[in-house]
Amino acid sequence: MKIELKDINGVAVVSIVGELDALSASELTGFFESRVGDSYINLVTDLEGLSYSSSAGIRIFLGLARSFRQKGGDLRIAAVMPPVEKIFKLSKFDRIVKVFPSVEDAVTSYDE
Amino acid sequence: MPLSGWPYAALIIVILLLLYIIRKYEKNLQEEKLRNEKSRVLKAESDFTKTRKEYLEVLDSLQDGYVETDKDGIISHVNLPFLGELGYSSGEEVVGKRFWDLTRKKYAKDVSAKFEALLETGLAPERFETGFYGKDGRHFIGEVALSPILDQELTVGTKATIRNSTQRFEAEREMAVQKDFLDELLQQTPVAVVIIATNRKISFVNASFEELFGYASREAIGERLENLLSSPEIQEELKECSANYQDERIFLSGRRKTKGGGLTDVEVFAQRFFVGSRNYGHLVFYSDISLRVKAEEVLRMARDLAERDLEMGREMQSGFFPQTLPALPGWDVFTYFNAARQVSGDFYDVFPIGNQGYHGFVVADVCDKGVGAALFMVLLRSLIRSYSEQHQEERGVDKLLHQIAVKVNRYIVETHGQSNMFATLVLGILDPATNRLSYINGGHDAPLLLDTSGNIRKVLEPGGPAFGFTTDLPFEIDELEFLPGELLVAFTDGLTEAKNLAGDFYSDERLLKEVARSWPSAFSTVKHLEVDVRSHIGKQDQFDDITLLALRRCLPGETPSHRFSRKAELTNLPLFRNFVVEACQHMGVDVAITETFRLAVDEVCSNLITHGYKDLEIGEIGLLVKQMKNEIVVEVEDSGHPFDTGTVEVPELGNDITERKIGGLGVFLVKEMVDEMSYESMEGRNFLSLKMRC
Repeated sequence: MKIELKDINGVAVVSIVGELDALSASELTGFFESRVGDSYINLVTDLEGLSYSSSAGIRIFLGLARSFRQKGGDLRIAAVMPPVEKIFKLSKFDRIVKVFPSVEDAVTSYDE
Repeated sequence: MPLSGWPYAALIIVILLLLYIIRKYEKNLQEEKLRNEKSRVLKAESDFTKTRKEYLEVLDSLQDGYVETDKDGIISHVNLPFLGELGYSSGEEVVGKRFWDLTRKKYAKDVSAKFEALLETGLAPERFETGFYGKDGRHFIGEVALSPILDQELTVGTKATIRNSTQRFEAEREMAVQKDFLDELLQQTPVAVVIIATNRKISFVNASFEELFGYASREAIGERLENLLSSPEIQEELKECSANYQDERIFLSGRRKTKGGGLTDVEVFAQRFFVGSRNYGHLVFYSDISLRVKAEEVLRMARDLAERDLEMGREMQSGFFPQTLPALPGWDVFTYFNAARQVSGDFYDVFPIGNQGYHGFVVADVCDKGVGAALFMVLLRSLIRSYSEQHQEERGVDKLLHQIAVKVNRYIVETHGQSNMFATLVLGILDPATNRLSYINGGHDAPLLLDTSGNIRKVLEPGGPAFGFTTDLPFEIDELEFLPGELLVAFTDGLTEAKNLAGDFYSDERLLKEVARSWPSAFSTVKHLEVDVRSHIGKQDQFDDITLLALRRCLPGETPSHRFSRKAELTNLPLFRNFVVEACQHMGVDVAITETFRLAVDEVCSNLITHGYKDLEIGEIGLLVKQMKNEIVVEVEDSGHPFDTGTVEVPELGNDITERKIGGLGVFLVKEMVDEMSYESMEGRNFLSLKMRC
């Protein structure tokens, strides 16, 4: 798994490339703790390169959505691929977070 | 009244007496005065002597030398320190000489001229340095401060203080040498050096700078560096010119403009330049790397070309591997091949021969690796195929096999003897009608025949030399008959000699241990060994090609199924998931169902790994993928705590995020996705069966 953090207009944009399961989940959690931490209010995850996710991924995103909303911000998700979209729908996670077609859309959505 | 005689006489006597007394008194007074004056002179003389003595003592206590001369420059006094410097023990050795008699001969004229000038003008000359010459060849450099001794504006002599400046003089000379050295170093170094003063203008450039950029020192000094070296073609700003780098050093490579207008590749190193705490601006170094850049470019092109060739070679070579394995009813074949380099020497082949249903099987390992081995592999494979075709009408499998082996070997020995290439190989011909395999093992690692329980029934030992060695040795033909469910595994030594990071081989022992199981399919055997050897290799580079071929006689009317098992550890989670995906793909299962099983197996295995073996010794998770008539079934088996997934409550999936529970989601997803789910636990083993209709 490859994880990268970019700052776009003060929004933390984290791109995740690879497969997300119970094994790689701890790597992703560690990344959020060490690299994103409390430095940002608003978060976008770029999932264009995420070819697969199990419920371990949903668990992380759910936790992130909670903690970012608690501090007055949000988690928004961009560019979801079909296998991941399927699990988002199945788990009804897509009702909880806002999903955007692109990173740009997700980032600018914070301006509204 | 008349005066009588005696009173006058008495008066005169008194007067005379008075006169006498006065005279006497006056004399005494004068004597007293003389006496006083004498003592004052004595006192003054004594005071003077005393003062002079103190004065001389003070002079002697000085660190500097002190000399007095008369107006002819003849020494009248020297202090002790100066005597000491010159090595004399008493002033008498020096007093009476002229001052410049004490200097080294080459300075004498100069020094006497300074004395003359002083005596003429009465003005002290500037301090000057001169060499002194003393007793026994002793000498030192002294700094002399010469001044007149005046008496009523008249110069009556000179006094001089002399400070020994030998050390300072030598230090200065050393510094001058060092400065020259540094100057030379700066000038001669092949690195172009620029100093930018605090006013941002160039204050120094060396010869290499002049040479590299074409600007003479006088053209560069006073200019701004960016005006000389920047150009519109250089998109970036010149960091070394503009950046106000405080502590940071700049190290970069880029292009800079030369006076001629061309661009040159340079490496730039720049740093603030301090002496003590004082900032002297910036120091910038440029190394000319244009040659290196050119060489790298050429090298990169050559490498690209070689890589392209190699890539083309690999593509062409992969055309010599069977693209799909021929369908053999009642038989099950699966292979694995992984090249250590882009082109390789291992190969396998499975091909039909003639029209009687015969099938040829080859697993070969060409000595050496790389392009030469690949070429030889291509030759060998083509020879086997073409002689097979040529002799397909031969009566009997053994005769056919013998013809192929002998002809292939002879061709290599006779035509390519000089290249000393050879290959170990197993060549077998299967006759499905009799379930018999006739084979020749030419010096190759012995394939293994396993019975349905996974016991080794036969080891296919070599019966002849490697191909390409000699035409003098015979190839012995052996044969075996497959019983239903029996499986043959052939491999190359890339498998058993695969090394891990510690340098340990995968080994024959491990292969024998891992392969000794009951296998439901050739796919299962090959996948298991592939996963196992890859986990052994870990992060180590793969040194040799790895080839595996499994051939299995199916059981009558059996359901195609594939099995996989690994320890219930989190690191194996992707392996479980991938096995199910590959098994589905191997069986031609529809993509949507494959995706569903991928997620379902992942969720189930994650739970088993995390909870199933809590407080128990970690066991294995087994997967069985079965292709039934109208459904695909995946069975997950474990030996941990029994846990019926079906009894798990569906988590709250409301829209309110704060109410959502985080656990239990995985099981919910599995239930939601699969068509049927059942659970069974017996004798310490648990079976979860997932079904998808197709």
